[in-house]
Amino acid sequence: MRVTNKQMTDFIINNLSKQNEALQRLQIIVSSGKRINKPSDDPIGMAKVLDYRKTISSVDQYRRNIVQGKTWLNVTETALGEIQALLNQAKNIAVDQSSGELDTRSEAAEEVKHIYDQVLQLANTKSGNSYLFAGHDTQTAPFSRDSSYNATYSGDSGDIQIIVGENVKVTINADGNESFTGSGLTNGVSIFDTLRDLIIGLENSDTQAGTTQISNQIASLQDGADQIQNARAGRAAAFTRLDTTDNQLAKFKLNVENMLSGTEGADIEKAIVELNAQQTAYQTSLATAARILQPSLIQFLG
Amino acid sequence: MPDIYGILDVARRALLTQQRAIDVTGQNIANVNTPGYSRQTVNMETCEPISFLPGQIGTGVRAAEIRRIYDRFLGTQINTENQNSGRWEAQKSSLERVEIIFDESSGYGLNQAMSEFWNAWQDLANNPTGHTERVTLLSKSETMADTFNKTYSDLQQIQKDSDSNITGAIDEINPIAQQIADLNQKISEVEVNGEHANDYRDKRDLLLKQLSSLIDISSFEDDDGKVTVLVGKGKALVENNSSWNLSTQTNASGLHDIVWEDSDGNTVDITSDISAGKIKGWLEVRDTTVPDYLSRLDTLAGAIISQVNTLHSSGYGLDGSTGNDFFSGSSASDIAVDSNIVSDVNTIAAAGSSGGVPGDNSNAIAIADLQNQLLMSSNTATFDDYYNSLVSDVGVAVQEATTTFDHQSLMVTQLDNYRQSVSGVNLDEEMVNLIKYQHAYEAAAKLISTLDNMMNYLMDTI
Repeated sequence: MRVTNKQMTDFIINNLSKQNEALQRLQIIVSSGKRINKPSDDPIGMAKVLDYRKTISSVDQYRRNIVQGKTWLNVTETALGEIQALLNQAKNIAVDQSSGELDTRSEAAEEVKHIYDQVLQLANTKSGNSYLFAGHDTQTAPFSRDSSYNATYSGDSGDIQIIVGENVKVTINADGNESFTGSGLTNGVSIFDTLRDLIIGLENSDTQAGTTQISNQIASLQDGADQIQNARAGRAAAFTRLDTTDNQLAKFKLNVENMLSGTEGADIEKAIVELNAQQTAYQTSLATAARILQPSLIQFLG
Repeated sequence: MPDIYGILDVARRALLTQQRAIDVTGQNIANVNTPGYSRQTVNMETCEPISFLPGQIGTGVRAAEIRRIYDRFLGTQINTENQNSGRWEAQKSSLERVEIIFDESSGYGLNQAMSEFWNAWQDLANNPTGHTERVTLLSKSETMADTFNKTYSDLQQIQKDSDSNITGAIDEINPIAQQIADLNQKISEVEVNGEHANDYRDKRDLLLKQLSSLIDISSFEDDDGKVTVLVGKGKALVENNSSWNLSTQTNASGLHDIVWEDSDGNTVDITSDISAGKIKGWLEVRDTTVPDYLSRLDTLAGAIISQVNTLHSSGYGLDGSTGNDFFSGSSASDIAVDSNIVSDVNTIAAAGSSGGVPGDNSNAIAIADLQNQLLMSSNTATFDDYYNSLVSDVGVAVQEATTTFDHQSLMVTQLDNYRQSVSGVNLDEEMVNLIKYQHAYEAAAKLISTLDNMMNYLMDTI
């Protein structure tokens, strides 16, 4: 084939520009550490990458939700634990007072009143700015009492849920009405009513009748403590579930991250080796071009 | 009858002919880098011989013709491939810009914006009374809406740019057609005398090549050496010494249709008849590819708007309000957060019932759940799936355009290379020719001085 000067220069220009392009591509891969730097690098891979990124973002969100849920459950657990202890304390008072210690009844009455208010305060515990035991009515204190220790519940029975996975929700709140007043439970007891009746018994001027009233509350106080225990068990189960889910999500995220880097990540060693090879090829082309372009018959003619 | 003067005449003709050859060599050397130049050569032939004893005797040399060396079929082939290469080049460069719009590789595209939007609903569900969560949700929603708007307008910009590329190309085509018509005239004038219009033909070939990269043409040469150029299914662009104009007309969508004007100024729409060249590539981007992406963005934005609004308007805000839309607008170009929400974030309806306010988060959860529901593509894909497949399709389109363009341009390069191999100038070759002709010139001069000596001798003898 006849070769002309323009062919040679065109060829050199074409080759050099192709090599520059390859160098640039490898440079981007090495500097970004990614194999997929734009959708056309691997369209299917890019769709997967986006899906993995969305999954990671969702998992992070689920785990943030779980942290919130755990905080709520921790506060709930502490409040319920303290209430249970207070009820046991009240029960001990009732047991003591039912065996006829008449001279300490008024102090005992004061103590039970104190317990009553403490339980009431705990039943109005907040997490952040929300009342824990108010159902959906989180901005209003759910329990209040009148001067004669009649408690009223002003919350509702709404569930508060958090999202912990695709279409998976966990209810985190304990129903205050159910746990404290026994509403809706078979053989449920109202803790506040029981404590009120205990106070009435302790304050009864007819000590004989008072003793009966006091001893009548012992079983109810035990039932109330059990009722709180049940609520605690329910929250503990929810907590365990959140904890397990969190661990699973952590592992899942790690897997997805591995898949993500497997899909979009570049094999850096390979890319660097290729970059070096390409660089050598480029230098060789330059050197060749310098040798080819220089000579011409003109130089050899006198 | 040949005599001493006859030989002088031979020498004179030899001098002139070799000089002519050196002229042509000079022209070749001068045009070694001229695009479209075909090397020329002088065809030498012997002059008419004279019959004499003992036989015919030659009367020297003459330059019969100056020809360019070229392959006439190669030109047509290059033009055909050039048309395809132009089409894909235009597509490639436009689609690469589309790809930048959908550049999700850095992680700051619509995919990210949508994820953050849905996550913000979950944050609100965690604390439905929180002002911070509400304000965050508002800002994430605005970011998503803005990203939709921007993606949409960026795509429209590419559509507009393709359109102005098309009108620009049409402006380029008309003078080329005019020049071809002029060259037709010049070539036929030169060649009617039996000469070869080498440089004019080179020039015309180059113009045809330029034209073919812009639009698909078919061209053929008549007996007079005039070339007829047809565009868009047989509309004459150049015929004989005349050329016709292409122009553009604004169509219903505010873009430009391409029309051919006849000599009376009537116009014929040839937009759909164009099948190759850069114009075709830009037409495809403008009328097919980008509108498809735009409508898919609209579908996605529209679905998000209607799904979120349906749930949102059935829920209750912190202020007890209900029946409010969350988004206004109906497509990617006009999606925005509803002005009620913007002015008061307490109208964001996290609660599912009026009694549930303020602690009820069931509506926020229901809206957050939309993210993973199969609501797109006849209930087979999530919003994310739908968008990801759009990004993927953009990638495929760029890949296809790049591969095809690379292939086409390789073919053009190889054909050009082949053309160069036939028609290009090789300086070494020209140098050899130069020396060859120089020596012949010197020898002819020597012939004259020899004859001069001979005549002097003859004179002296007398």
